[in-house]
Amino acid sequence: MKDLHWELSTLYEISHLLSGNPDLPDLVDTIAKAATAFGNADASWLAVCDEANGKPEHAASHRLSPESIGDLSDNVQDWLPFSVAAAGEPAVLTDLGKNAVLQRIAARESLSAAAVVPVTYNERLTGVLAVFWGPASRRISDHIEPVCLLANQVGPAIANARLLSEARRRAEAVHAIFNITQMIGASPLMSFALNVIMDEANRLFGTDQSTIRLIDSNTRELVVRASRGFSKQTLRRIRLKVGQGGVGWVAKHGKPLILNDAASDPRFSYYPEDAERVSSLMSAPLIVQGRTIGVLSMSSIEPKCFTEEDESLLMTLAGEAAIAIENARLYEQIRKRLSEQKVLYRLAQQLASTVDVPSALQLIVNHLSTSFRAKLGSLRLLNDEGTMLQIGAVYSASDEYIKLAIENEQMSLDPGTLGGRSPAAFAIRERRICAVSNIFKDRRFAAWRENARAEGYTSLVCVPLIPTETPIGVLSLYFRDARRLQPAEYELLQTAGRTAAIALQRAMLDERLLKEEVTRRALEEVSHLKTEFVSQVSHELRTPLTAIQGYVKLILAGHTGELNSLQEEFLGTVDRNTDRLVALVNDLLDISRIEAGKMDLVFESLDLAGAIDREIEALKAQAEVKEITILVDIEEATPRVRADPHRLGQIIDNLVSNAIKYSPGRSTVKITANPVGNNVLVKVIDCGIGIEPEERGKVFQRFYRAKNDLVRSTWGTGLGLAITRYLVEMHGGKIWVESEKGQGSTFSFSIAAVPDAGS
Amino acid sequence: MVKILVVDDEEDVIRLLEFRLAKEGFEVISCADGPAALTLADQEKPDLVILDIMMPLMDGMEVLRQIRSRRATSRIPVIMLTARTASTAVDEARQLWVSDYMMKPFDPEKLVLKVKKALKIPVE
Repeated sequence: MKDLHWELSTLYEISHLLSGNPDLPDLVDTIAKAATAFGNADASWLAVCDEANGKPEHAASHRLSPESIGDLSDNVQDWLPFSVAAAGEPAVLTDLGKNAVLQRIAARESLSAAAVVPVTYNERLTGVLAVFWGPASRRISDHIEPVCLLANQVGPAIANARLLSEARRRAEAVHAIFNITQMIGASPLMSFALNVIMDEANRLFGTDQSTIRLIDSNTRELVVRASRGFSKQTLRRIRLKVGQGGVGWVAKHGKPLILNDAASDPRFSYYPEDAERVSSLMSAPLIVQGRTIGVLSMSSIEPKCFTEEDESLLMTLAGEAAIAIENARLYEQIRKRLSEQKVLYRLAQQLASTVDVPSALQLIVNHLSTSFRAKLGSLRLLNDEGTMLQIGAVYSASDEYIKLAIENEQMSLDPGTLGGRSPAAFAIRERRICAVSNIFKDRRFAAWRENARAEGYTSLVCVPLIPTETPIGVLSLYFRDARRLQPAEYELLQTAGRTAAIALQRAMLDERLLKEEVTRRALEEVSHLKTEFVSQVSHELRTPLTAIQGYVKLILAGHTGELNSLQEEFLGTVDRNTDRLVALVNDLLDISRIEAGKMDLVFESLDLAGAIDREIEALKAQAEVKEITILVDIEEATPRVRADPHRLGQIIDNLVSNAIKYSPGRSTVKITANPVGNNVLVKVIDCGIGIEPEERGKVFQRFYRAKNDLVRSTWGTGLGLAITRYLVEMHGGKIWVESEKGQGSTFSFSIAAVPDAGS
Repeated sequence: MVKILVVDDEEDVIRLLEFRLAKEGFEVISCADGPAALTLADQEKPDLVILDIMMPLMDGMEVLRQIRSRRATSRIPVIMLTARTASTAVDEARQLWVSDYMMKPFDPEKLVLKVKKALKIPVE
């Protein structure tokens, strides 16, 4: 009665426990205890089999020593009766001595009999319950039934508990994946995403170690990007390449892998002896668009039984991780592009507001040196001949280098010199970027290793500055460490180089124009001062000349009384020379005004015949002295001309007085005019000495006087024809001379006709 | 008697013109600056003014403008003495109605011809 009551209360307890959704280990523990009580036994042992391999998984016991538990659990196949394993029938063992394992247990625990009862569910063996009795126990057979009853109860409970824990884990996995997706979506940073994935995975699998390794496409090494549970030293020691170790196997084959007994698997052999112990390992490949980019691994110091279920879950997580990594990579790429664009934009922006060349040079060097985190930077400019590179600007943290660079200001491009064998010279010659990732390994620039050691750089890149076709200089960036230029960086440097080159050329052009403008202004100023000076001097000369000439002419005209012949002759000489002086002053003033652009013409519609007549009238006396006849032949249809009356008179006066001067006595000077197109052509023809062919072009140059005795002995300033030419050109016309030596000369000039002026 | 006012800051030029014009039987009055010229022109009502352009205090162009702007003197013929290349000044003077101009240095005989022409005195 007492027993029955106890049995019932225990059964109640069990069913209560079962309805409370217990964890499988708790349940197994409770059942083991209950089995001892139900069987009125001295000890009991319960194992729940793994569904996949049938091995006992969750073992629990009551009143057994740890040695015995291990013995039973580790050697199930050695002692489990065939009837239990194969047929699912309970077995009663009254003699434990028949089996080696059970004999050890019996001896250790002082037991003599046992009942082994299968735990089944849906006709499948899900566990084994063993109950042990000591030598004092009686009527063992009586106690077997309650034990079987318990075992029958336990089967569904274990199945339920297992399903429940499975469901829980699934729920947890879904939650984890949801978490991961959400958190990854919220942050584009790769390291954050990877940490989230690993934390969730560790929680999910109950593991304490995990790594995410990515394949370095250059070295094929599996580089640890995130880890949990490993010391830095261990990670540094365990360097894996694709194909090495379990992780390397996964990377190579793109398949997941479970190594529950890692140490005994040859694929796991990469761990050094003293590394943190890894008992079990589970890895899944990170696959992006069919390509394995890395491996997600979970491992544990404790022995673990990773299941296929776990594997498929890990694959799901790995998929998420791969997406996160890919997203992060894309994000990084975009961010980098953006920062590159920013580099270029800021460079262009700053250059746009820089006007002088030195500032532009310094700006380019500083900007690109800092953007690329260079140790040193220099910008050298090519000289006009393209033979030398001259330092333009230097970037450096230390003043010493700047000093040094300025000392070595010039660098020849001659291949025979050190400069000619430099990367900079190479970039100029080849007209492309010269990137030296390690100067100590690059044979081409062996001569520069000494320099590299002295300056403390290992790699450098030289960008030729080519605005359109011809290089104008080269930008060099020097890096302390060996550095291989990434394609994007290469592109960026190329674009930056072009931007800088164009801006630089513009600044140089601006500077040249500015210089020219300054020079032009200075020249203008000088010319203005000269004109002012000449104008002032000519006025100052004119005042005394007015008095001299006036009084001399007064005396010569006889107003002060009769002159004797010598007085008349000498005063005549004074008078003539005064005339010459006046003419010289006038010519100088004219030429300086013309050349300074200060001579303003006042155009009118003029009757050419009238103008010619007036000038001839004035020259009559001069012609009469030599008995020269002046003929004027103006064609009827000759229109009025557009001219400054005073200056047109000067042109005619100059040409006609020259003709008189250089014509022999009693000869004829002829003036003709006739319309030609929209112009009037005026000719002054003499029968004088003529002009040598080689001198014809020079007679219009100022201060030029023909190498001819007559010309030399005839007075002239050498400015008359130059002024005449200027005046004709200022009227929009042309002047030229035709001449035969000894046959006279014909000076012709054109002058614009006034349109539609009938007469 | 025909009265001629000569205005020039150079004493030598005034003396030259006084001498030569007196030979022609003209009465010559003179002064060396613009303000004095305007006073004399007002008081003496000359028949002709010979006026130098480049003068201190007030230049000949300004004197000419003032002579033309006063009713009493507005119709007096004026001959300007000018630097040869001051063509703009000549142009301006023409607009203010000058009888003639003479470029310095000048031949006194030619000036006499111009004076007679301006005074409409026939030349023999």
